[in-house]
Amino acid sequence: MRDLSPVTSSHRPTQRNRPKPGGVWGLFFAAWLALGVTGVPMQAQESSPVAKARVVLATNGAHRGSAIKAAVVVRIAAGYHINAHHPSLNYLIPTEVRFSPSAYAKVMKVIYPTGRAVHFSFSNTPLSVYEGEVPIGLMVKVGRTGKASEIVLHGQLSYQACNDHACFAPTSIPLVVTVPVLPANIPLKPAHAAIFSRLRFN
Amino acid sequence: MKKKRVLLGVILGIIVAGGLYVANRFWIAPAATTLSAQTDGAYPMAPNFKLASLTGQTLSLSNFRGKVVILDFWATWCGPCRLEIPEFEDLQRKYGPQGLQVIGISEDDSAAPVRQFYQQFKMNYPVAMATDKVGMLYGGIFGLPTSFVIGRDGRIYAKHIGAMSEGVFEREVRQLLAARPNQMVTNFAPAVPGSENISVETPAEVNSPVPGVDVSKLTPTQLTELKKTLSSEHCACGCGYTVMQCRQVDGGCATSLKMAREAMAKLTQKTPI
Repeated sequence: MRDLSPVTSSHRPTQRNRPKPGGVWGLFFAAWLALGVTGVPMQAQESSPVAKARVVLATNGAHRGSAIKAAVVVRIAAGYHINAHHPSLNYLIPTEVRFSPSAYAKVMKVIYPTGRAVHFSFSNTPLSVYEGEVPIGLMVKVGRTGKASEIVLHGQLSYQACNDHACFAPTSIPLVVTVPVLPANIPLKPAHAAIFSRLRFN
Repeated sequence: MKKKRVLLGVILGIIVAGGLYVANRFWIAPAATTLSAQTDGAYPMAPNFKLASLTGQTLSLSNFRGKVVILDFWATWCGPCRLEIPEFEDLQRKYGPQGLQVIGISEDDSAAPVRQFYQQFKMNYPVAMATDKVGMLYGGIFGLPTSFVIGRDGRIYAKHIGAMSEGVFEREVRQLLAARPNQMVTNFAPAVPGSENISVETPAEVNSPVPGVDVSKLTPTQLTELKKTLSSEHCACGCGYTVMQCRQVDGGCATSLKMAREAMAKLTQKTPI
């Protein structure tokens, strides 16, 4: 069923007759090619991640037995979008954040922002998407037990990105949240206020 | 004295002009001709594949030799892909009798949504589920939709990433339909200027233990060293895997492919095969 018939090297574009420019004429020739005068496509095909993500805490740490706020800050490359967690059409793949619980902490709740309704040329109806920088809220519950000075949780962000005329395959990127555990008598200090002001945890 | 200088200038001018003529006649002009001929050669043969279609039949590209084929890599979750489907159906209806065959290859994870879509939209051309290897044979599918326009002679004349209008395909298909079977279309004009580079991979590259890199000529020691290098280096694509892992789990990653090929080149330079 997955038989891949042989493709010989002769099927590949030949390099044999490529002129070997040198000196001044070589420069002219190279410039001629670079300018695309010949119509030879000069596009490079490189893939780079459309979305990057980091996890930040709303405080400088947590006390044992408490719950703290965290956020997955997703940065989406300009010109692209990823589907919101609740996409407007049922065939679209939603953005999701998942964390595996550890013995000492777990993510209790993931708070997804509402997507922006954007109209694309390929859809008659506006689609609910995330663009630019998007924070996704996390409520992390730290257990009462344990002696470690910090707790590490591993998770992943799954998304599917498109621009106005093409899409990338669904993909996921690993997430790590490190929670420093502070003694109960040390007060917690707020952090990343600008990010958390954009999230509604209630 | 002045006359001599003028004469010398004229002679020098004649020599330079003659030199320019000779250079153009024997170097520049042949280069342009070669390039034109090379453009013909830059249409690689479409790699053959055999896949099971949604209707259970074997779908093999070789069965369509002599026809013009639009090979469309798509997915049901891809909005721009869905936009193109009615256009392909239209082209199939319009040009099918003249020798056009549209083939859909779905990149969905499972066949269920594809089957549902196929029935719902009454698709009039065959669709099969993609495998990583088919995508790799076609140079890696980096974005969807990706469509290949294949001539009657089995060569790939155009590759389009992203949704295109029906007119783009129509203009290209009509040029290719005009050719005789097995005849290369030397004056093919892509409907979109600056169409994508067309590259295909060999089964040796696709079936390699380092997918995408032909390691068939490496000695066992060299292969071990290459694998060791690729397993110790992190892929720059941001996936969090090593280059080796990234090649194995994501055959379409151009970053890991480039890194693996560079490591291979470095290795063979150090210890030539």
